[in-house]
Amino acid sequence: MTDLSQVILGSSTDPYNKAAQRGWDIRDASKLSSSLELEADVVIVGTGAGGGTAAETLSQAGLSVVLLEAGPLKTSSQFDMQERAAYRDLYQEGTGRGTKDGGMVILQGRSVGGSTTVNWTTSFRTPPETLKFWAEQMGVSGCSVQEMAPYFQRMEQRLNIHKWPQPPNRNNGMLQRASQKLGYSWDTIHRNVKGCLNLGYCGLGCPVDAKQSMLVTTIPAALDNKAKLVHRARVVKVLRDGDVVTGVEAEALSSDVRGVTGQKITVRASRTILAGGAINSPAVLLRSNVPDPHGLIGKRTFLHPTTLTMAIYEDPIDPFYGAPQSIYSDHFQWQNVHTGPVGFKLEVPPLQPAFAAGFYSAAGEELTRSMDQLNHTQCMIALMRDGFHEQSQGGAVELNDKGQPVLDYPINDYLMEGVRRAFNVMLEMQFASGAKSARPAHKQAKHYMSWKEAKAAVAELDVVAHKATIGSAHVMGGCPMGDDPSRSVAGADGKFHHLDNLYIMDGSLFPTSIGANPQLSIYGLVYKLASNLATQFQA
Amino acid sequence: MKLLRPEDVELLRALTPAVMKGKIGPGDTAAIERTVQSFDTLLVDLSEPVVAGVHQAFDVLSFGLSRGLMTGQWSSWSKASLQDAESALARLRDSGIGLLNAIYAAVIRLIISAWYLIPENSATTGYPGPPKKVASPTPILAPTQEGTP
Repeated sequence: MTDLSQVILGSSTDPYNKAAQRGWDIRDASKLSSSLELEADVVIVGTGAGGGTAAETLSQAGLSVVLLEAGPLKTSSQFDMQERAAYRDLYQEGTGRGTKDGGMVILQGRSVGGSTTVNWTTSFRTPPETLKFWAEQMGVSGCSVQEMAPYFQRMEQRLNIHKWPQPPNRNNGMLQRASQKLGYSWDTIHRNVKGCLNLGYCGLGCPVDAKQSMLVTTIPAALDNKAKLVHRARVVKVLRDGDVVTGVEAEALSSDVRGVTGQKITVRASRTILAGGAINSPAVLLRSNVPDPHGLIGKRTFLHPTTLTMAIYEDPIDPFYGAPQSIYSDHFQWQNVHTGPVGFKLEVPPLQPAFAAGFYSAAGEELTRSMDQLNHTQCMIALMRDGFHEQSQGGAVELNDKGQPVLDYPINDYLMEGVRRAFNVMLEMQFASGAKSARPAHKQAKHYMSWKEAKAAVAELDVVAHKATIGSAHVMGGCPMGDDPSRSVAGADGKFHHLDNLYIMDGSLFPTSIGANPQLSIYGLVYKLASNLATQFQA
Repeated sequence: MKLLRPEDVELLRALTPAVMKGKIGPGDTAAIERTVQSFDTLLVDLSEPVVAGVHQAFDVLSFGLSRGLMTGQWSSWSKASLQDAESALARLRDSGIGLLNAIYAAVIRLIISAWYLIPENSATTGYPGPPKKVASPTPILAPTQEGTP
């Protein structure tokens, strides 16, 4: 077995070590002792896939940009690959974010770079089926496969997105082997990495800056272009003068980003771009009481509800090491685009111990005996493509009495049918690839010793919320784009329909889920929208 | 404790050996205390809405009538045996009431995470741990051969 704990890594790659030399203007709002007022051509709320891409594009066009980020600035010098610190510092609510009834756990990033700092590097262009559905059913113009291609191509070059050339780790290898055995289609994943050491810690912050996240690509480029970055600054609302948005008001967060310091940050800008991601962008709009004549803000928020199965093999798997995602199968994804049962994508997750244990969905000896064999454990996940079928309308972002966003997303029978079907598909695949035992993520399940036993048991399981474990790492929608203001929140150019100078540039624009890991969909779309906005300025 | 209240600690002392059976014996006070301490740290690392939800769930499990009705534990948690705790957890898990299933899911996930977030515990899974990170002026990747640097 490769024992990576014996590997020693240097930490010289961190671009932020040279921030002063490069003249970067980075401010930590937690340290403000008085209010801060800034002016810019463009203020961008959020520094993830959307905000980072927009910041680079607009600052390159010569515009002055201020970036606001609610999370902290954490960089590779601090990424020590320990689970506790990473979950605390780099995730929304310390990985505790969930849907209103607790039925789904939501893993979403919250630091400079947003979810791109912690995602597993999987990069897909928006599937053609999805773009076609948006054009034909959701009234989205200008986003056909041909129209989007140059933007995807440009961002693929920018972020070194390429098909992973190394062999998959054994966790991914089992998905490949099972697909081959059962005759399912599969392929190798494209990843946004440069000089990747194949360690497996993408989800805890890349320790060597190989991942081409916003943290090490577009944000440094924007800072080189004199953009200003204020982190630990949470935007409360947009500022308005009549029907014109004139900037944003933010509050400074404490250094642990769990409280406020009392200081305010005001940014006046001729254009305001929301890029806080689905959940946070709709929340800013809701807190700002902007016009919403059709009650659409925050509705149709999608998650790719995801369930999993665990399997134990005779041979070592070492699922905590190696590129986390390198193989996928869309065999069950596109049989029907918007009719019939829900489709799902098959992938695998990396299994560092606390993460694996937390999702195991077992307790007592069923858990601890299984976890003793984590190094022989393989995990498959099925990501359900929500938002296409009429029975899949997603969730709704609401505000609690403190103005914090809550996503109400009850899991209905339509999705639960998909969960049970996915359990069966994944368990059969695991046994077909040689598993000794396998177990669905259901609190009343156990490790079954054969596919026959597993199939019979799954048929009897009570597949309902909370008993079946369902999570999400992809939050999309809530501010859908489209040409018709009665069905969308923003136009296909990202402009908010009901106020001037306000734009949305993140995954909240998606009218459905993507049907694939969303980062490249956000990069490509936002590069297009931000390029067009830059042209408007020049005109 | 920063966020756990005395009654939460009592509850967690009872439930932890059941959730972590095979790793923590009912009399292993030191291991139980370490896990409860780790749970408290974990809560600090979550968010205000999550902590509020956990406190609400613990209220249901801690106080007299609801504790008895929901978990079958009619005396205080300090008097619960391992079997009592296991039976309480099974009732929450198997209940037809979604709220109780949700409480079960949250409580076990947090106790389990608290235990496996302690690095020496994560080593029991066959996980050797992450690479070592050193401050260095140049990038290094030094795979040590059979333990020799």
